[in-house]
Amino acid sequence: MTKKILMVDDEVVLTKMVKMNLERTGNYQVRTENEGSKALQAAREFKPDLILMDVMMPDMSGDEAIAEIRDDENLASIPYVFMTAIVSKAETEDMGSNIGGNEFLAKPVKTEELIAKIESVLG
Amino acid sequence: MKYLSFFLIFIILTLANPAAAQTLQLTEEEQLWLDQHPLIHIAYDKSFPPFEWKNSEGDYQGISIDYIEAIEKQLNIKFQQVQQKNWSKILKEFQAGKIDVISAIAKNDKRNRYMLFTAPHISVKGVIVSAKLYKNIKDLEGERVGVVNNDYWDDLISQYDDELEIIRVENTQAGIELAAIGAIDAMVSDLASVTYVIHKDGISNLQFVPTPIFKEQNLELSIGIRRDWPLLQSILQKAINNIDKEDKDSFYDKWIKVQKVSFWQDKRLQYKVAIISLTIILAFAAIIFWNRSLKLQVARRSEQLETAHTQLIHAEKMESIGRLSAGVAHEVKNPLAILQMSIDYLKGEDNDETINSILDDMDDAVVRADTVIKGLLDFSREKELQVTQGSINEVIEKSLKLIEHELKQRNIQLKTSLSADLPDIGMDRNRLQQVFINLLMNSAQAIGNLGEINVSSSLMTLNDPLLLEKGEGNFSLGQKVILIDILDTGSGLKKKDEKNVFEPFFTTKPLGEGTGLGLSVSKTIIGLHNGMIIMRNRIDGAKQGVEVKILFAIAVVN
Repeated sequence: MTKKILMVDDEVVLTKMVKMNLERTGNYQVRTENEGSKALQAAREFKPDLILMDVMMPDMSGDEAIAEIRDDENLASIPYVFMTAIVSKAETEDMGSNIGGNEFLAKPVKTEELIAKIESVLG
Repeated sequence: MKYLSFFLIFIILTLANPAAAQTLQLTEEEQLWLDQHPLIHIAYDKSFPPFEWKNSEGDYQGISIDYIEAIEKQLNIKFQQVQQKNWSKILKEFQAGKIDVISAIAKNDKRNRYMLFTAPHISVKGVIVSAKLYKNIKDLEGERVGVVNNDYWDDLISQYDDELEIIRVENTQAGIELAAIGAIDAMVSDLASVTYVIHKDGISNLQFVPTPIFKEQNLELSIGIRRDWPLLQSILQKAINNIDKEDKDSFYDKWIKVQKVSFWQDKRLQYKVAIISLTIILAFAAIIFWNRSLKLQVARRSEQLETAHTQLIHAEKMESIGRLSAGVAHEVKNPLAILQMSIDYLKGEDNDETINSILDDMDDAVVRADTVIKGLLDFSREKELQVTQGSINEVIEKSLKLIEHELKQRNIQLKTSLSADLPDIGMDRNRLQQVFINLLMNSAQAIGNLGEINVSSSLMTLNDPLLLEKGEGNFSLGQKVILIDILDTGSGLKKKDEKNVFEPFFTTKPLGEGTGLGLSVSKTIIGLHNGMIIMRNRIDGAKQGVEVKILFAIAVVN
C-alpha cells in the first residue's frame, strides 16, 4: 500500500526531484507545494501519511505552517519531518532529540537516507 | 630623586684658615717639644668616609688622612698609629691616655673638658636625607630618624628627642642604606659622608629634606689633642695653616670628586653656576626621563597594538565567516539538495558503466561541497555547547568506532590505552566527538597507508612546563588533569607550519581536500571546555609523526 507524502518547499526543482525519486520506488504517492501558506489546504485535501516541510520559506516559515496544520484536529496527528538547509547533519541529530521531538533532515540528503527517515517515522 | 648625584657636585666645602705660609716657622720651644716627643699616638676612625676610613687593603684613607700626611711632611715626623675597633673605643682610649691625637673630631662641650682642638680644618654642611617626600622638617615629627651613634649629629639631634624617634646606627653607610630601603624614615649626617655613600652604593632614591635646623649648622672637624699637650696643639695648627691651599683643595677633590674648591669660593658665581647647572641638569634629566618613558610607552603600545591587530584580524575573520556561513549554507545547500536528488534519480536509471562512474563522481563532489559548508557552520556556531557530565573515554571509543573502517582501509593499526580511573567531566559529547574524529582523520590522512595511531587517556599531575608554554589555557603546574594523547606515524609537521595549525583556513592538504577549519574548530571546542590542545612533532623518539595532547581540568574535591 502506497504512503502519501506531502512535501512543502519553495525550491520547485527540489520538490520535483524528491517526488520523482520517491514515486519511482512505487511505495509513495507525493504531492508537492512550493508555498508554506498552501500547506494547510494541501494537507486537508491530500490527507498525507507524512509531511516533509522546509524550514525557511519566503511567505510562511515551516514551523508556522506545521503549527497551522497541528491546530486542525483532523490533521494534528500527521507526523512531519523538517528539511533544513541552515544546519549541518550533526546539529540535526541534536535538534531531533532536543527540540520537542521534531524530526530533522539536513539538505542535501540522499534518497536512501530520506526513505530511511520516512520509514522510521512512519514506523 | 634619581638625579640626586648631580646635585652633589655642588657640595659646598669651606676651608677654615685659608691663609697659608710658605715655610713652617716653629718656635724653639715647639721644636724642642717635638724632639722630646718622638712617639705621638694617633687614632683614625675606620669607618668615617670620606674623611677617614680603612679600605679593603687595610690602609686608612680620606680627606683627614691626607691632612695628617701633609702635617707629617711639614713637621718631618711620623705619628704612631693606634688601631682601634671603633669610634667609641677610640674616645675611651683617648681618655685613658693611650691615644694622644685624634685626626678628625668635632668639638663639643663634653670633649672640651679633656681635649684640645685645632681650628676646624674640615667643614661640611649637615643634611637630612630620606626616601620619602618630606616637604618640611616638621613632617619628620614622630618618624624614625637615623644618626650615627655618638657622632656630632647625634649630639645635635638629641635635643629633638621628644619629637623624633632617634635610631642610632653604627655608621653613615648603614644609616643611608636603611633610609634607602625605608627601614628608617630619614638619616641625619653631613653632606660629604652622604655624598660618598650614595656615590659608592649607587643609591638613587634619596633626597634632601629641607632642614632649617641645620641651615647654619656645619660639621666642623678639628684635630683633637690631649689636654696636657698645648704645645702640640699650636704646632699642629701651624702645620695645618702652612699647607698649600691647592693641596687642601686636592684633598677634597680626591675623595669627593668636586670641582676645584678655589672655583667655588666665589659664592655668587657658585650660586649662579648652581642654578644654571641645576636648570640644565633638570632639563636633561627630564629629557632623559621623558625619552625613556616614551621608549617604554612606544614598546608597550606597539605590543598592545600588535596583539589587538591579531585579535582584530581573528575577530574579523570569525565575524565574516559567521555572517557568510548562514547565508551561504542556505543558498548552497538547496542547490546541492537538488543535485543530490537528481544524481540519485539518474543512478536509478539503466545506465552504462561510464555514466554510472560519472554519477559517482558527481555524488562525491556534492558530499565534498557539503563538507565545506558543514565546516563553515560548525565554525560560526562555536558558542553553543550542550553540556552534560560524562566519560571522556566513551566519547573516544565512539569516535574510534566511527573511523574504524577508514583505518582498516588504510592498513593503520590502532592502539588504545584508556585509563579506567578517569572522573566524569562536563562536556558536549557531540562536539568533543567531532574533535576526536577530526584529529584521528587528520592522523589517518597524514599516515596515508600503513602506520600506527596510539590513543591514550590518563589522569595525571601537570608537570611539563613546555606544555603550558605551548598551549593556551588556564592551567598551572601541579594541577590534576585528564590527558588525552594521540600519536601517529604520519609525515609530521613542517617547522613553519607548527604554529599555524590552529589558524582558520590553514591547511596542508591538497586543494579541495581540506577546509582548513577542522583544527581551528577543534581548538575552539576544546577551549569552550576550558581545556587545552597542543599539536607538535613527536618528541618520544619516534622517527616521525605528530603528537596531539588535550588537557581537561578536573574539579578538585576537598
